[in-house]
Amino acid sequence: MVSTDQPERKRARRLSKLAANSSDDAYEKEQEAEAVGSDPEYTVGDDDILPMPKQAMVPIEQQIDAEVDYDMLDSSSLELKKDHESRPVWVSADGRIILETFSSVYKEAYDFLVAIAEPVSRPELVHEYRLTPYSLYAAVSVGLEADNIISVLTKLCKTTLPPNIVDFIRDSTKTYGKAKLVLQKGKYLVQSADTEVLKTLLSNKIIRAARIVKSNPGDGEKEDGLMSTVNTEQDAKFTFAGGETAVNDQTTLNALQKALDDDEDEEESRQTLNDKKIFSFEVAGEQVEHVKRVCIELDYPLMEEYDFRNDSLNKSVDMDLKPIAKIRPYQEKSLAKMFGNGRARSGVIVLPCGAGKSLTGVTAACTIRKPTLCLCTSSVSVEQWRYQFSLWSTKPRDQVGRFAAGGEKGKNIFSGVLVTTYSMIAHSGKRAVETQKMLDKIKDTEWGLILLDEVHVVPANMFRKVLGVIKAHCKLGLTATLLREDQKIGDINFLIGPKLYEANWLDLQRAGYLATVHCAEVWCPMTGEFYREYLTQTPAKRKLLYAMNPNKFRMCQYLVRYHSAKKDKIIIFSDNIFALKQYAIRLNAPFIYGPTTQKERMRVLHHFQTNSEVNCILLSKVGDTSIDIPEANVLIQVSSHFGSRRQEAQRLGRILRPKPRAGQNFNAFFYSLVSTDTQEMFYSQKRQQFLVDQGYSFKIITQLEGMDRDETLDFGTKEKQLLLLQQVLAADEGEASERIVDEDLDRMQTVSGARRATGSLAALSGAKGMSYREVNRGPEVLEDRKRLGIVSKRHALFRKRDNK
Amino acid sequence: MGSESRGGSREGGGQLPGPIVEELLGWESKELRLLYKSRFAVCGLLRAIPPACRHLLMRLLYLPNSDSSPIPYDVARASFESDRSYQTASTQLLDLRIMEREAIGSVISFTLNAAFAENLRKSISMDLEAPFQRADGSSESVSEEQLESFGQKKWESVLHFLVGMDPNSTSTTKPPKAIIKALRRINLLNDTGEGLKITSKGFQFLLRDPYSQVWVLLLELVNSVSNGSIKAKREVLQFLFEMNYSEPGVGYNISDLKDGPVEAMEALVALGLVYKSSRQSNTFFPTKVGRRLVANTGSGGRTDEKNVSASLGTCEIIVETNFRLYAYTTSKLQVDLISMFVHMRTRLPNLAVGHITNESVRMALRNGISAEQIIAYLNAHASSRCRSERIPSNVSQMIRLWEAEKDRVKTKSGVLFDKFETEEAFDMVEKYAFEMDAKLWSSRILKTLVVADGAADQVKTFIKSNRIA
Repeated sequence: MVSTDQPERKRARRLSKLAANSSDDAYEKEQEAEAVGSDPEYTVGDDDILPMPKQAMVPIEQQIDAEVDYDMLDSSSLELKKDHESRPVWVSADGRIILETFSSVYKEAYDFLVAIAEPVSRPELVHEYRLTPYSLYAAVSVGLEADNIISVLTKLCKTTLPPNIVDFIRDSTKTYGKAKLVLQKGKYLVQSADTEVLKTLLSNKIIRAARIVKSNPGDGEKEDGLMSTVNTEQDAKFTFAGGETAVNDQTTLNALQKALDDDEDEEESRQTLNDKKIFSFEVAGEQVEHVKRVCIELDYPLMEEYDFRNDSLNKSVDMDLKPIAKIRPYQEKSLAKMFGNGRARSGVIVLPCGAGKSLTGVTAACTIRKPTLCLCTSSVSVEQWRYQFSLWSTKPRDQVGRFAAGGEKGKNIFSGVLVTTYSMIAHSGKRAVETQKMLDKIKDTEWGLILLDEVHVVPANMFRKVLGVIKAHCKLGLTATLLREDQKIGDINFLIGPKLYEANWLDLQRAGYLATVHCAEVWCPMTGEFYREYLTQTPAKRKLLYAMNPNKFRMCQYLVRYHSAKKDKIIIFSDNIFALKQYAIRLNAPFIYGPTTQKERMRVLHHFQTNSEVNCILLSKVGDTSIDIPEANVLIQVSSHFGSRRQEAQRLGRILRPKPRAGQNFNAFFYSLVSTDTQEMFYSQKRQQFLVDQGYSFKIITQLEGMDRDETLDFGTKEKQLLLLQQVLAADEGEASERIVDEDLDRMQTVSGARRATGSLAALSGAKGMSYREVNRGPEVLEDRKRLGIVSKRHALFRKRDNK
Repeated sequence: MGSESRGGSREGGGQLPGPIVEELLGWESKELRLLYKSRFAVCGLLRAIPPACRHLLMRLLYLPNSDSSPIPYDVARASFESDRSYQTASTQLLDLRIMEREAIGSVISFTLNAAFAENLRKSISMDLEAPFQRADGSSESVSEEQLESFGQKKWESVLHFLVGMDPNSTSTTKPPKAIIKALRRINLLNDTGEGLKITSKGFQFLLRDPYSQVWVLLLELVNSVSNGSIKAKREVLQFLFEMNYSEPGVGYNISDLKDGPVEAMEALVALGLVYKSSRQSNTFFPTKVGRRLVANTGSGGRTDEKNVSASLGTCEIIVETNFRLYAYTTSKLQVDLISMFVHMRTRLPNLAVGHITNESVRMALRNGISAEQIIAYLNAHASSRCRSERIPSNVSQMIRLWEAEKDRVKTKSGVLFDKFETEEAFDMVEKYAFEMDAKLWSSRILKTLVVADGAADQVKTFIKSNRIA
């Protein structure tokens, strides 16, 4: 690929270099890289990018942050209400909200708080939330208004509200959510309850130019030309596919008010919500993108709603949920937020891994019943989404289109549902003629719904690019963790929409929708020899040393044997490729990593799922997201990416699907193996933070019973340990860290011709092959591995043939 | 928990002796017998001893002829299920000389202290009233509420000072010098050079119930006031037992009291046990703490402790598995206390929020507070909403591991050998030291060797005998 160094690219490279040692941003970068397809020259034309409002440019911690504040914040002067014991909430002056889960109004209060604030920690008894501009933006966009928020918060709070919080809520909601963009009967309308807002918008000349003025003013129009209608949307009862009546937020509020039994100004607030006039003006369809952009620049981001029931221009797609599809209460709740007023809102739904994100997405598609485009991060998950569609909806699998590298494409691509990857859409390089044709058609189609899987993984630029070229009425993002170490999550809020719902992990676990996981951090002391080297080596080598710590391997081996004997299905995660291979060879188990082809991946996963002899697989970080392995119930983490909280959560997610083995306290196990006295200890604590905040507790294991006596474990003698140390020291660091190659890109690269790979000079000169390696697999092992499809990296030429 | 502290849970022992029992155990039998002549002391002590002792005592008290003839061992043992529980009960009564053992050959029997038994029987059958002279003529009057808040304030100022977190402590809120001296004498405070700091014992002290705390300090003060005179001490104690039966809000004459309590009066005021309108005033008003002091010693029970501390600021703590701590308390003192080992973040009217971090715990450990003490405190105050009313096991485990972290480095003293002339010489000595298992560290490049202290002489001899310079 031709190298054209662009400034942005340079910066990114410099950043990632900086980050390589300590920062966790690198994980984001790599994950992004996987989603983008590791295209080193991936560029985005400026024209394709949507602008962002000012609020999104400011890092969250600068807007409101209390973590940095090391002095105690004293709000003890707030007045305590007399009946404070029956109220569940405190609000402190730094925007923190503390909720007692044992309160009688917990359920209602939770629904309210999760709508207006960002959950910080949600363990068993006391939750913490934080008010942020984003969270308030989300609240506004699901129909809550500043007055509602303040009045309900006042009612919930044990004390009077700190005055600065009231101001903060008002300030943050001043401009957000005041204007909506509604697609009604094929017409784009900019709506607002406040004529002043519309006037402000109309004072911009681009918007004025885009406006369509009717020649003969109708009865609903006022002298300034704005149409007015009485808002009836809140009363609209509406049913989404397979579900109950959608609950709108007024219902939540009413329930709360009832629960708190507070007579004051109840009537009033209901009045303010319901009988409101809505004013609007129409804009030309071809100008919509410009109008949206200008509105964002004016700090009045248009919230998008899609009145799909009255959309007669786009043909409806014939699909519905199968009767077997049962929607769980939390899925229902999240969909209720989406379809709260009978229209489809754009936004993000956050559900833990294994809690049924796909069903939520499929249900949304079946509700809207318009052409649906589903974007995922990898080809494996493309297949999994197609399977989900055929499983839950009446669309058979061959009617679900597939637009991804490898396998047949083109068939039934436009039969209503199309599944593809982000990189297929966003890639700007040259493509095969046929592919380009299809891409153009995708760009030309007016999609009813665009489903964005794993939204947190994909970089903002990619999003802006994808959303810039795809015309969609409604955007639904799905994810398990709205968490990025680089704080870029704010982008999503404005590019897709606000967070519509976020489920509580612990509640779901208690209700049996998630497995009860026993989390443990296993401390493995470094052997003296390894530690000596650790202290003097380069950072890259250090990583290798603590991953290959003999005590860690022994611990891992012990755990694998222990759980294999119980017929558990075990996944071992290792970011470090050298360690991954070493562990795989010694444990005699298949592994999947970047270079593993799509076909091999599917085959290994199939064996793991069905073959009772294969109880253990090893995955590199390509297994972090999207690979669905419902059978696995034990997870051992050998090496990981620095302090990435998201990776930890995603990995845990691999075993969260509820397991049928009843009668035990824990039915899933998560072990994180950590070499003591190394950086791992520090990172490990950081990594666990998110899960710990969700209520998981990590037990620390310093010794496993009977491990020392077990002489069948490897590396029992000093000689063997030293031999391993030599191997580790001889290993090429480049080999250790993974270069993710996306098979999509592989294919495209064959089109564009030349291919570049990075490698050390030593490797090129053949020194790499000189390193000593112990090979102790017998012929039958080799045979076994072949059968499972774990043939090491093949030449691209042959791989191509394999795939055919 | 170390041997220095008695406040923690003792293996198997169950009940702990209250501070007053602890004190009396150190008395000579002559003095004890004198004390038992006071009915007030006898009644007070009955409350102070552990329930098992009380049980045994009451069993024996009304036995026919218990005054004249000894009680056989079997009778005493009969009402206990196990030897062990009998042992704990009887040992303390014997140590306090309430019961005496006689052994004739292999036959063991007991007698009760006659004065004690007599006084106890009397007091059970009739009411007691404080033997103080009411100061009816005095014009002074204080309401019960005033008395209570006075007592509370005085004691809180002592605890605040001990916690050492009150930067605004002025001369008015600071406890008198005598008390500060006493705190240092019993090693609750320690001068580290950068001012007074709480000791491990001091922290342990804070974890005890307030009445036990007052006792500990009171006895120390009385000791110093009476200059070790056992008579004065006995008089003060007796006075305290008597005060138990005084009436709330009533003033009494000081001049009618014995010397001991008169001398100790200032200390009693400083601790908030009695109230005096001025130094010169001849009238004293027992406060609530003062009146209840005797009655509440030695209970040691958890529920009791909670009730008692209600007057000094309750605190219910929820610790979550994510190391966040929520303390339901309105008491600044409790917040200060918790902030000795917790990073406090927010304080709300009836809640304090903090985070248990490695740093915050390490700071506490540096100040001599042990991990066990922290865990004990948190467990003692754990809210009833917590699982099994304890803090999550992962948190307590982590706190222990943090403490263990401190002990990772071991120091050994050694002798350094360097300036070896040749590498061969170095190798030889190093090999010798290694074989003797005395080599602590060596560097061939620097030709330097460190040998354990004990073996240094042998290595020296080895060097000399081999003529290695």
